[in-house]
Amino acid sequence: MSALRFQLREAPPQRLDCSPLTPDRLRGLSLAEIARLPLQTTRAAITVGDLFTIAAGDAGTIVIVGGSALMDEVGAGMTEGSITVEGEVGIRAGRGMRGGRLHISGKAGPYAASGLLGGEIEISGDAGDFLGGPGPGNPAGMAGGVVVVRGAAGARAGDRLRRGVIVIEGDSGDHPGSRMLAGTLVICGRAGAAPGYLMRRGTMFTQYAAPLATFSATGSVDHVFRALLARTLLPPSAKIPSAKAAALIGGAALARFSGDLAGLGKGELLIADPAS
Amino acid sequence: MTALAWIAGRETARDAAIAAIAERLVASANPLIAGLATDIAGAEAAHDLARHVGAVLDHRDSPTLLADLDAMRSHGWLVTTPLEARAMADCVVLVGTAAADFPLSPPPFAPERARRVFRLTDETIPRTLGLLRATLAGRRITVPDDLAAIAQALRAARYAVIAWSAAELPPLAIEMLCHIIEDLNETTRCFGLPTPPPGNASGVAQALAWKSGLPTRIGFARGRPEHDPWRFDAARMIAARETDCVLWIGDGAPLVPAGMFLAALAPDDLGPGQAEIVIRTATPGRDSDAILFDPMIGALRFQRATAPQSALSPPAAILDAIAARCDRAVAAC
Repeated sequence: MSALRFQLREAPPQRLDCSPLTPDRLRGLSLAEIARLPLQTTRAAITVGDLFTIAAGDAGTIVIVGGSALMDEVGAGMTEGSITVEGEVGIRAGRGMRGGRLHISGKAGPYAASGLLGGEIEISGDAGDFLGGPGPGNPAGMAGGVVVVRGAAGARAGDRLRRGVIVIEGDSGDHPGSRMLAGTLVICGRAGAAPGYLMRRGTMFTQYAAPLATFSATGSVDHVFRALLARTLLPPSAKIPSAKAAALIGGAALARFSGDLAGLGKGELLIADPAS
Repeated sequence: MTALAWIAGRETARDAAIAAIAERLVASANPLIAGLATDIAGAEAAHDLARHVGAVLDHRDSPTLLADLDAMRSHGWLVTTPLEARAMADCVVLVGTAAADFPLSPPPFAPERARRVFRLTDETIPRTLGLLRATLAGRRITVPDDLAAIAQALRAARYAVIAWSAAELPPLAIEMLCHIIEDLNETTRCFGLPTPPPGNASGVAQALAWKSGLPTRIGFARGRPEHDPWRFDAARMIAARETDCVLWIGDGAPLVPAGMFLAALAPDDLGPGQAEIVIRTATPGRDSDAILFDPMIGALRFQRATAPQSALSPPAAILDAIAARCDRAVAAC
């Protein structure tokens, strides 16, 4: 059966809450019921049918054609199936996802993969600030799942990361891996200023970074661990393969820094090309 | 008698201006009530009006309020009040340039102990705080002598206080300070002393919390209060044209793009031409009695008007009148 398709007809007149458009919530609904679902975030009512042309299909495979930076919370809370957005999305794409697969072909706004618990998110463009970070007032960051960003990410990617893998194939903004508790953050390009500020545990790989003075050089890691981790990021075992991340992790020798010694200091920062 | 209200720069009766604002709020797709530099009654009235018309609420000092709040709600903190700090502290570290100077006299509650006051200022305060915490934790790290002296003094103190202003520190640095304070409390006493934003911002934040259960940046458009520091940022909403109607309370009304409605309830320092509708209000605490946040005691306090002016209504009275007119406008539809 073909995918359930939503074709955006025009630019949305307000920010949209797209969280109703997930396989979990659309399964079993008729096209007329789907068209009546509210998406508004302001007083002005707006429904799916007001903005999208809907083509019937399997609700487990959703395709949204024509993205917008005003489409917030795409895929939020989904547990199964897949959503593909051909275009960009607004804030909090994939917030609190527990399973399934979300692919965004354009860029994503701030707080993408916020509080992710499981599943896979692929962002072909850039991601905004706080990739995988906690939501407002929520102490818990991402605690599972895989995120791959083909472009660059904004500031504080992987903030409060607890479990799971985040790959950024481009550069990251300042303070990547801030307050990391565990998990893996891979930045294939340049890490922004002060990587791993207040990091407790976890592992951060990067091509280039200037480590803080509260990270101390602790040799290199040419460990079997690197080869194994690299293999999980390549086919056939990877759900979202990243050849760039595998090349960085499994490639040339990496300098190892431990920190943030301001705190627990059990995090590791593995840098191919450390700035002195 | 001096004028109290203007529509499009022309003097008008205050009731006409109130009715015009109510009409615009009711007709708006996404109204924004912002500024909120007002007293507790004003904050409560603004909250009630926003809930009533489904508006977004944002305080002009939200970035500062939220920087402190983020450290408090994501990690927790131990803080004290300026009065307590003055009475007890034998070691004070002022972080940044905005934290107010501290008297050098010995603490009255421990007069036998001399008080030492340090100030940490450089371009990389977050990094310096990391070094300070690592030094306090006994890590083998080389640090500048002045920082080592501060660490030594904090450890030796019986009651240390670390003061900062969230207006100049990033949230991560505030969190580092909260960790330092927590670490020190294992062996001695140490408290934080956050500098609240000027005016009654902290009082307004408390009023919003007890009215809605949420901190600043709240939206009511969907019939329930929602908190979203990114989406309900007034400056961002105005720049992105996500609102069509702005009601600004207090001074410092923003410039809005052409076509966006702006009304201001302002004390006397706003010219009538700066917004489409301007209503002059009392300055709470000066022209009218008010309940305001007192930073010295870290609590709310009644403030009798210092120069009472009965001709000027406090912002709360005008907001209540707008809400009453909104009722009538809705009923007429």
